[in-house]
Amino acid sequence: MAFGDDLLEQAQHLANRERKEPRQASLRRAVSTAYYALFHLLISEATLNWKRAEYRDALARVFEHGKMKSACRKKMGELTGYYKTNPRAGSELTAAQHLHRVAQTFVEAQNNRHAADYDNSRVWARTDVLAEIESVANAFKSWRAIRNEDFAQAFLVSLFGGKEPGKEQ
Amino acid sequence: MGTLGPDVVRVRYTLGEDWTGDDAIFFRVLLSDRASKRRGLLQVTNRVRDRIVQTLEPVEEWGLLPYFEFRSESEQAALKEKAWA
Repeated sequence: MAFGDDLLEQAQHLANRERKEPRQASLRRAVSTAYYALFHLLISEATLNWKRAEYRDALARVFEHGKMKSACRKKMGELTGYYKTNPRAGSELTAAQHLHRVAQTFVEAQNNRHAADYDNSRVWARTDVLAEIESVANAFKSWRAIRNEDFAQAFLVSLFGGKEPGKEQ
Repeated sequence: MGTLGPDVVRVRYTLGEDWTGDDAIFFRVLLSDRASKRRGLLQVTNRVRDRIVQTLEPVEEWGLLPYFEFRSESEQAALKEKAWA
């Protein structure tokens, strides 16, 4: 099982650790772990393209949370623009919706992770935590539906923080 | 709020910034206990999220990135947070 999948499973375990009255510590760690599940899924997919496997972990360290968020925001904006052209139902639209789901989930999960790790004033309810975990699990499915497409691979490159291949700006 | 359906009891929001300093709107969505059950939770939260974003277009209209929190009626009854009342 890949590391991202292990983290997702761990997030589910933490969210359900106490049957009644979940501890804030369990819920916070679940939220944070769910984000890192998606984070590691995406960077492992990106570094898989590096031919020399022994350098992939070092390459993974290059990714930055803020730059990844910016890339996701940019992609969400592009896709929102695409939706406004009223594209026909079909595989292209479905693929766009999958990528939008991945980017949107990443942005939201990242902000939740920051709140879970650093904002002690926020009180977490299990429903909120389970909703995030379900969203991340759904983003995993969406990613796996499109991972071999050129546009998905271009998105991975954009997560480094530079220009997306094939884009003018 | 009627357009969100019977799963949604009420929605509150706060304007602020997210962790990177981007302007944001934080929605707090109180769900019915029935809608908060695990089976179908993703469907409910996706529907609510999509409906609010498509209706308000917070990024396009105001440059606000939307974020969502969800909790059930019984969770709020136990936690008694004013921001959710």
